[in-house]
Amino acid sequence: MNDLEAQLVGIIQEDFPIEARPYRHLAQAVGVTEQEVISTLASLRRRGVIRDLSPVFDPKKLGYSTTLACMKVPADRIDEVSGIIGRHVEVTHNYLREHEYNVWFAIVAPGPDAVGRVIEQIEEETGCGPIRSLPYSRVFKLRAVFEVTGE
Amino acid sequence: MSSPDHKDWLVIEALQRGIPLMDRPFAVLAEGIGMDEGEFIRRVGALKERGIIRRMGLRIAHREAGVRGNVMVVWRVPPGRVEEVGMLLAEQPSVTHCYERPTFDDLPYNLYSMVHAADPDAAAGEVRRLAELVGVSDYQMLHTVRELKKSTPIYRQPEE
Repeated sequence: MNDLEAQLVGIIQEDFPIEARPYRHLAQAVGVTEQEVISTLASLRRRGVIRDLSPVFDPKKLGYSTTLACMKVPADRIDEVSGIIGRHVEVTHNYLREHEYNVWFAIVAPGPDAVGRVIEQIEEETGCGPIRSLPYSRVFKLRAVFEVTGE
Repeated sequence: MSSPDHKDWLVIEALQRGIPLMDRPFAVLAEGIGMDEGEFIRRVGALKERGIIRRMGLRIAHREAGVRGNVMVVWRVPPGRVEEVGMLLAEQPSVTHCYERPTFDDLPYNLYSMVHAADPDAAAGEVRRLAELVGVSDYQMLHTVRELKKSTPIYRQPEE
């Protein structure tokens, strides 16, 4: 990323202006034109550096429940099982990790029963149970914003 | 704290389609749901005010953006120290997430954190520093071997 890209990303991963001409607002903040802001962001997106430009919602305030789940999957079934897990739209993240419980995934679904059903379905479809569901009881920190610097 | 009403939900669903890279992006989204731009922007502001929108911003594809040192660290903290250790970890800039979670016989960890560093070596050093800082020696780093899925949650208005 060049300096302009890093500067823009730094601002708008935190605080996209909520106003009629947000890119003009950003342009004034970094000292370029509105069109330069738009084309810079378009280029970052084309290159896959940034993903979507949309808000992060609080699932609980929308009536949704979440959990972190993990299961033990035999090494030779990782691709097959992750395919099954991935087909569930309620699964937002899935990682292979270095641990006896090697497959870790996050579920976001409309209520605790819906979360439970996704877990039951995945257990049934994969036969890799029991799945451990680890919904948090307390949040000490939740901050997915990183400092971005120009290369 | 009131939950979103029907029109809020229309705004929430529109926003999830992504804010377009155009001069007046909210006008475009508003038009799609038959709302005027002014009301759309007011509702977005109010959703943020109420914490329903936690953060107004883009997501970075971490690996591409040079954040390769992220590691999940799980801690087995004596029950009486969970609050103290959780708060201490939360104060550290390298810790991006920290949650208390239930334990099982074969998963005895009660604190789950994500630690962010420039690369895996730096992450390992940072985790050692954190362990010393909080005085917990029973912990494990669960390095990511592979990302199997990463997507955005989809929120839909509940049926009446």
